[in-house]
Amino acid sequence: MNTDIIFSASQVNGRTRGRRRFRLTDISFALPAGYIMGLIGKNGAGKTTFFDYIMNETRRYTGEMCLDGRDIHEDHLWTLDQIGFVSEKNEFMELRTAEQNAQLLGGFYSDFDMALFEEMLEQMEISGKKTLGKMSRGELMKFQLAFAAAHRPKLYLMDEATAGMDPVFRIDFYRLLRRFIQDESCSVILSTHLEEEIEKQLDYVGMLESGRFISFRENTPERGGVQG
Amino acid sequence: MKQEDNKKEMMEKQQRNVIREFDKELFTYTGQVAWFMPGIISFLLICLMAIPFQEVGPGDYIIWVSGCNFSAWISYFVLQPYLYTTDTLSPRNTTSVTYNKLRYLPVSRKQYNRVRLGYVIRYVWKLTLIGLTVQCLSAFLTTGTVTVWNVLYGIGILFVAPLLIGWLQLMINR
Repeated sequence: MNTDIIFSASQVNGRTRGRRRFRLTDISFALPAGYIMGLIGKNGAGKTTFFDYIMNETRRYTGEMCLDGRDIHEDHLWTLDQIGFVSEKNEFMELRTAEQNAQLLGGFYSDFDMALFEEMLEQMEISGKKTLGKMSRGELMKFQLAFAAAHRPKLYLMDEATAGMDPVFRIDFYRLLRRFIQDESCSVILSTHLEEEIEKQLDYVGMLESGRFISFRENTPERGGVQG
Repeated sequence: MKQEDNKKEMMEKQQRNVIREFDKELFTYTGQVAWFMPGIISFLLICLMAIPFQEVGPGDYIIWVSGCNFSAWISYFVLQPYLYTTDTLSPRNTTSVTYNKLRYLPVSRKQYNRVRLGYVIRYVWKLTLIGLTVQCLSAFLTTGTVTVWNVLYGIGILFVAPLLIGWLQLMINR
């Protein structure tokens, strides 16, 4: 397997800003390419905050986070261009169809592949003509996944993407993820608190507790019929 | 060093073009009604400019208050179709602020604001030209002279104030 580090965090400590007292501390880990890492912790442990540190244009931490060897805040636009973000909060245009969303928003990426997006939707059995507002939660997640994959990111960030999903959908979802990372050119960091997922699907597990990053370990997933 | 600056400038220009393309789409979806309002307010402002500065006393509150109000609303309505989407109409909507829909995409906030402030500048620049002409003409016809105050009055109400309000609106729109 590949040992190239795709994403690393070194001595990352959040900065407190104004009345916001919550911050993350002691985050250090290195994620090789071609793996799925789970960020686990209770609600309020700081999983979403960690994603915010990466995605926010303003550097809200000390220390260093690198994507493919480059500091993520050195050229943040490049970083965002290399990240596929899937979130339970849908920030897309709800009143437009999946295809319209891709046409409208895909243009911001340097390498957005509309044909690939359409192909992905077809594989996931989602109509591109369907308005996002009318999609089910699972369909929305799949749409986001197709949108993220269409610009071939180096890193997928998934904030509680599988929360509230039925097991059938989750198996499907992980099958897709495994397919994305099989050429080992990208990795996935996803936040979850589902024990079943941790045991069966994740290659690495990072644990957060009240903002502190308390452990990072390798996990041996027992993927029962999930591999694509 | 100069080459790097040129490259950065080119990338920023490219980013602004992408934002403009996105805006064109956004505008066709949300803009029709919103553009009606700046038209009405501009008309009222130009009517206000027909009163020469020499004739406006410090006690003419209606004129001052209307002038300030109109110049604030101009930038608000010019920016409206670009700062918000119609997603507020959707029951599952989490945000209608355009930037919130773009913040996880490779979009620079700086270029985003720059493009939008450009729309205000383009609009108020034309308005200022028309308004100033009206102000100077009416001052000349009623008092026989055009002073520097006529020009400053027009620029202040029609250009500086809307730009300032527009800039503030962009800063707080998150």
